[in-house]
Amino acid sequence: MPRSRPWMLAVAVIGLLLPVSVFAQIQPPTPEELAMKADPKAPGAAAVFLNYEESTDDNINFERISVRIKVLTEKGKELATVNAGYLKKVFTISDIKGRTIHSDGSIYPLEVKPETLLVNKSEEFEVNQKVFTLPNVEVGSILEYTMEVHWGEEWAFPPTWEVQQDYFVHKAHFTFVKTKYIGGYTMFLPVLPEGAKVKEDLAGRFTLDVTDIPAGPKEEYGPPENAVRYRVIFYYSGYSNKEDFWKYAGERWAKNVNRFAGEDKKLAEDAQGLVAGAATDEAKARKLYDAVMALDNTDFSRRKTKTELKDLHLKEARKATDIWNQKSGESDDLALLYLALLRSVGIKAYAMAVTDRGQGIFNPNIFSFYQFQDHRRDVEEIVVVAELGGKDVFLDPGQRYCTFGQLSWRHAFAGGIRQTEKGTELANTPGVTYKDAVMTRTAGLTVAADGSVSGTARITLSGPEALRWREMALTDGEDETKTQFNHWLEGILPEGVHGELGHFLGLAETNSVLMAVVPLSGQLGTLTGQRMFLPYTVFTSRKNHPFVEDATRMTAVDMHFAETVKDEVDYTLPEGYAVETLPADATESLPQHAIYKTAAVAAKNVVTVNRNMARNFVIIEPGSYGQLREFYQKLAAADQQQIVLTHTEK
Amino acid sequence: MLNRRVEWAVAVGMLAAPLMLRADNHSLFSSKDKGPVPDWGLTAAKTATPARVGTAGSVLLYSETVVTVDEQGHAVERERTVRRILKPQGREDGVCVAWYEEGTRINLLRGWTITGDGRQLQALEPDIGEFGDTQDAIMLSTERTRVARPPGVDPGAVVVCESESTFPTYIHEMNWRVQHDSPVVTESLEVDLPAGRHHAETWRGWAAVKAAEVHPGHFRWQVDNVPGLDLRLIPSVPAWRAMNGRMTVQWGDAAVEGTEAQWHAIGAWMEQLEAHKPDPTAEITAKAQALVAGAPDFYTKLSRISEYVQRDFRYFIVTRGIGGLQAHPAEQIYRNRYGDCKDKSTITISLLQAVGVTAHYVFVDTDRGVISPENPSLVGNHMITAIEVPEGEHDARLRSVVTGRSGKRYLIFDPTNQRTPLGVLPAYLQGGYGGLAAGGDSGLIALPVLEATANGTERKGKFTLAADGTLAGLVVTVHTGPVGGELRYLIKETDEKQRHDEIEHRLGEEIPGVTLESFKFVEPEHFDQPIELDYTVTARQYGRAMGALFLVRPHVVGELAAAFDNKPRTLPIELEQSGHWHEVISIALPDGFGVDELPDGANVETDFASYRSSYKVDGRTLEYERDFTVKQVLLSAERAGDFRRLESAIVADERATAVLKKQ
Repeated sequence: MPRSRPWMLAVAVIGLLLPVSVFAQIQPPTPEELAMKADPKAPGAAAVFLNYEESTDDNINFERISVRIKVLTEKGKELATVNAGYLKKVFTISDIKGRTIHSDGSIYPLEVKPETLLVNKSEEFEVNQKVFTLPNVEVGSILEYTMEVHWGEEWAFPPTWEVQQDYFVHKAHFTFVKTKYIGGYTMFLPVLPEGAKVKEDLAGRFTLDVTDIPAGPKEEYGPPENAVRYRVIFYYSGYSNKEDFWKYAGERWAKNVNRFAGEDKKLAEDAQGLVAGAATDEAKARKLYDAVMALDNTDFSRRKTKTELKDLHLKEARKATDIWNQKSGESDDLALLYLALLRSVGIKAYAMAVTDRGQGIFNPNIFSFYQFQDHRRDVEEIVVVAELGGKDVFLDPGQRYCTFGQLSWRHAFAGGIRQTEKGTELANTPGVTYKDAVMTRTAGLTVAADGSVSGTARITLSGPEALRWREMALTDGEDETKTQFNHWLEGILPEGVHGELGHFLGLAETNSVLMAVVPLSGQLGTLTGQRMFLPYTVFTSRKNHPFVEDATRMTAVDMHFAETVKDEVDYTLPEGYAVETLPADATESLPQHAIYKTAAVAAKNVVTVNRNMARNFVIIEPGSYGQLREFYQKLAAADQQQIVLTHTEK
Repeated sequence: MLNRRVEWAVAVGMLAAPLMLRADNHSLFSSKDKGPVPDWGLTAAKTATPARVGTAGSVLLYSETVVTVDEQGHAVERERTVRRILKPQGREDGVCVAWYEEGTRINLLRGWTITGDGRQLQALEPDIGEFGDTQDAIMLSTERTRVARPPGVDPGAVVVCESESTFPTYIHEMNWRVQHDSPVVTESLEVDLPAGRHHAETWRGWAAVKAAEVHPGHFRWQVDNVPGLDLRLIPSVPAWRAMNGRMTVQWGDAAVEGTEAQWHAIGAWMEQLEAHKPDPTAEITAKAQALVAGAPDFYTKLSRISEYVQRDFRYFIVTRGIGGLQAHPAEQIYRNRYGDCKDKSTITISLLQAVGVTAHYVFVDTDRGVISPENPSLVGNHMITAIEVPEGEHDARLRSVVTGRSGKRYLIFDPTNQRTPLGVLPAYLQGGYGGLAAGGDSGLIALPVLEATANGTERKGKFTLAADGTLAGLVVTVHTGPVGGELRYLIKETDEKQRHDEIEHRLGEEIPGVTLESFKFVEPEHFDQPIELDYTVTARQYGRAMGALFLVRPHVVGELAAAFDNKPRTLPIELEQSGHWHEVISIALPDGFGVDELPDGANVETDFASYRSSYKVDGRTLEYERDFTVKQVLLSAERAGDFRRLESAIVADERATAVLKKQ
């Protein structure tokens, strides 16, 4: 789909114009600040921000940042080095001043001139970085620096106030004066702690004062950081409320979609040919889906460069039919091609733009379609909603090898805007259920009298995990995927047991499970004089259980998708050994959310163990974290059960 | 983290006033470089893909490097490569790259693709970018990389690259990488020297090839059919750079006969390069004298200075041109209290000099085996310090001592490692080599592998096992030498929560379901004192009732096994560090249970390591003890059988189960 290439620029500079500091007035440190050795408000912290000030005036294209930091431990010294990235020719950074103040009050000014370093440069833009490091920093020092940022008059630049930093902030003050030169509304989206409020005065100046802001959370299975950190996003808009924005901007978006996926005689003829013989809408939709899946998806291969397009006398695709003719396109192109194909055979179908859940959470209060942009690949995140058999079926034709009727987890359980019969509406996609994402691991292992084992494991995957390996194979090739799969195996097999992938089955298929066949060998059993002990299952090493570290939680747990894991292992016992004890069957549950069951049976010289875990949730709020952690701790411990064999030959 | 500020700025800015952001300082591509694929490229592109390429994503069909040296010894390097892309992951190899930094330049960078269907595509201005060396937050580097991405790089395509760039004027050697990640069909190096200039060549990890003298002073080496080197799935293997074949040609002061003489010349050159950098100022002298005032002995004198440098000088790299090799003046380092490894060595040498102790630079590599005696060169990535030990000084705390060819003894010390004490060496340096820059003693020195007692952990765990299987107890660990240094790094680099998470995470990998109840570091002020970490844990279901049996794993925590596999081994085995680990675990058994059977214990003795463990019951207490000593850091591939036997025994012992029965 044609899109504004300047987005490339935006992607390139993401994360660049960063915590530069600017202080309006350098205040002398207080005796308490100088003497501080630890901060009771941030126990154990390596450093704290004493003050953070950021003032932006979009009328004079100017921003000033001022920072004061107290270094409390060796680690805190790292804050003495400041890297501030910026887009050359748009921004300049100047008037950098800084100093280090020791706890005895002695002052060491920044005398070394800040360096300007190249980050990257291309035909279209150049990103530079100002780097400086404050001198003579020791534990107990106060670091102070200020910086000014300027941008060209032709730019309007409403700020995002990063209220939450990586370190505790005692006091922060933000101001923003909006530009007079752009009409419309100045909107802001606050994600702030209770009691904190952005104020606007009659002169159009916004201010925020906050105190005691904890360090930003970094938690295992956390939601995207930008969705949970305290911040205020300002932007200019032609709309004053979200209803109007999503209605009118949505209409424009839908019109663009319809233009791209519009009727085309040749495409319609081809579509009719593809669905020939299909009796139902679903059968037609599947045939068209397979046809689109067979095309080159450049998200996973390679996008043609300008030079190449010119050489091939190709132009950027403007319509779905162009994609069809080129047999190649980006994920959003292919999604809209599929939309066009469905429509051309008479199936009602709609486009839906969603936020990639790996990157963010859709927020209707941000008036921007940029929320639907995949920053990694510079494409729009598009799924297709088809009416099949009277039901909405969500499809993900832009994700090569995504099973028909399922979504990539990045597009599942995600918010966005969709077309409807009457126009557009904000909506959510369904999640990936535990029935969609199934991993089955079976192994038949022959145990020798010395405890060594040999045999073959078969691992079948469906849903997101299958899609992950298939996408990797597209991007990196089968050999590299095997290498990475073997790395993954190392993590799930116990020490001493070695597995190396023999081959994949179904690596390049869309609508079947992916199977990996893995010969296994190594030392699994441990011996005493009379007994041999075998782990309950060969697939669960001790090292891969989540939620070990944190007893409490600040943010929700986001496990991306629900899943089912089924293990079945047959141990053929060595001669001279018999089962003495099998682990008792066990069940653990997280009510409404997950269940774990184990069962073992012995028949003649074979012991068969089953381990099943079904998790039917994606997100759990922090309030329920304790139960979740408890469940996983029980599961981790239960996985350590052993089979006890007795030596029968004396 | 997404910086919406920039997003919006761009978005709004584009609406308000579309702006061309063409970077206009200087173009990355010159129209004079536009042209078809050169004949050499077309010819090489016809080379057949070798039958055995393994899992490689691409194959280098042809590589030709020509280094032309002028009368002043300044060099220009021209490189031509032709590479066939075999698999999708090979696309990342399909780029043409050239580097430059302050004082050097790129004269030419061109790249083409010959697509599978025979079309020729050249990388033009939109396909060329340049990148700074800004990935590392603790580095200020002026090095730049220019990258040309020829279009159409798909499996089956051939990528042709040509570049020309100048050497820094102070570099008089060419290090030729003979072996790559991907296989090579044919590659050559040519060095064209002015009349009368000598050269010396050495090889490492590859059989030497005799040069052809194409013209007088113009030498050519050619190597064919070089396999790719992929170490990713080989456990316990040395670093890639320590394993790949390479060759070095010297044409400067080090172009002399014999490797020993070359190493001496390199050391002398390094000494000259850093001359006067450590000269102490009055301020430095005063500080040094204050530090050593009242020091009772030589060791204390040194350690006061070494700990001062380790603690008070931040690690921050500033590299600008020759700054990649040459230190800043001690005065500047002292003023800023930061610097990189060269600077830290410089300030150490300076402070020592101020109190009458002589010290020198030693360039090393942080990966053992990268610097090797048979290949004199500047290859290396780190600088450390050699401190002259006076005659008659034989303090047992000075362990990392080497003897120069003059008979002088040098204490080897790494001031950049901010926690490993004076007297010992970080594990990554032991068993490697370094280039000493010390007058007549300049040359290669072998860095010692310290005796096992210089490093390791003593662990004592006292637990109580409840009848419901819950294990609870206290573990006291005492760490010495480099292992203690690593723990000190953990304290230095983390805050309290991160430390808690790190410790609990490590424990959780060994004891599923564990809860870290408390932990405490006892960190003495001086680095040469052992550091202690004590913690209490609770693990539910650690003991497991199974019918009449109750199973418990006596080894609770502290895995020692290294990674190994059962495949044939052709590469050396990396043991990482010498040391001694001793562990005593006692578990008070629940009432009503007695021991039915204990594991046998392990006993493996080799010349490079020994491992012993034992199990016993003392009253109501199950006791487990083990002792592990590693004496070497690197084994030849032939020792793979012994290595596997050792590691298998450790794994089995760590998993071993004791059987209790209800009485």
